[in-house]
Amino acid sequence: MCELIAANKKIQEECAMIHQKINSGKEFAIEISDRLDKIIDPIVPKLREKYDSKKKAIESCDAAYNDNTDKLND
Amino acid sequence: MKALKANLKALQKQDQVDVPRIKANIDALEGFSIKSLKNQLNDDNKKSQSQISAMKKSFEDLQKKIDSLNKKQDNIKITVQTLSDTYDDEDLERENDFINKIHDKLTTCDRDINGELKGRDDTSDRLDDSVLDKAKSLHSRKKQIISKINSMVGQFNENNKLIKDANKI
Repeated sequence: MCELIAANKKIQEECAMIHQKINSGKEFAIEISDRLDKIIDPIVPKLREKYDSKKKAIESCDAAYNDNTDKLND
Repeated sequence: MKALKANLKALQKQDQVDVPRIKANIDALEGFSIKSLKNQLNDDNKKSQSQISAMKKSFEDLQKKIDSLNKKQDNIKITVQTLSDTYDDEDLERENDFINKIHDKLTTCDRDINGELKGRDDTSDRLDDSVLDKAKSLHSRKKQIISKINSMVGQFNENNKLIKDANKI
């Protein structure tokens, strides 16, 4: 009987240890989720903004270049 | 002679009354002790059962979190693909930015969720208990947890059977 009680206690200890591992996994999942969230905001919007403005700058440079080339040709 | 007779009488009384009474008390005490141990065992067993249920529920939550992370990751991949399609001109700065700020981060997240790339060995799977959990992917931790749960539930069922047998006595 006492052996069974001891075995049961061991199971409870094991259970608590597994619970701890699960909780540590959940914390890690939250950390990964935060990293993924940061890609969506602010990283992607910032990149979009940066390359939109770069694209516009290149387009206006192209337009200015074309204007000036036309003027030179005229 | 008188004294001897008195002693004999006392011994006879002890043999007829006191010894059976003491035996009965010892039996009752043994019975009480066994009953008390059985109660403790059954209470402990119920406690183990509820701990296991709570742990299984918690494990299901972890599994849901892993599934939701994979979904989130897939959605981000779609967003990133759209972004790459939008800016498809040759631009080394943009390519570096996309690699450093998005692709590398996504790869790390994927590795932390699912282990190394599919088709390759997941080195984290080979890590044993002595290695810090932080070094393991969620997938690898999940596998380890499942194996521990299975072994613990097997032990619990075995104990349960023995407890039921003990209760019958």
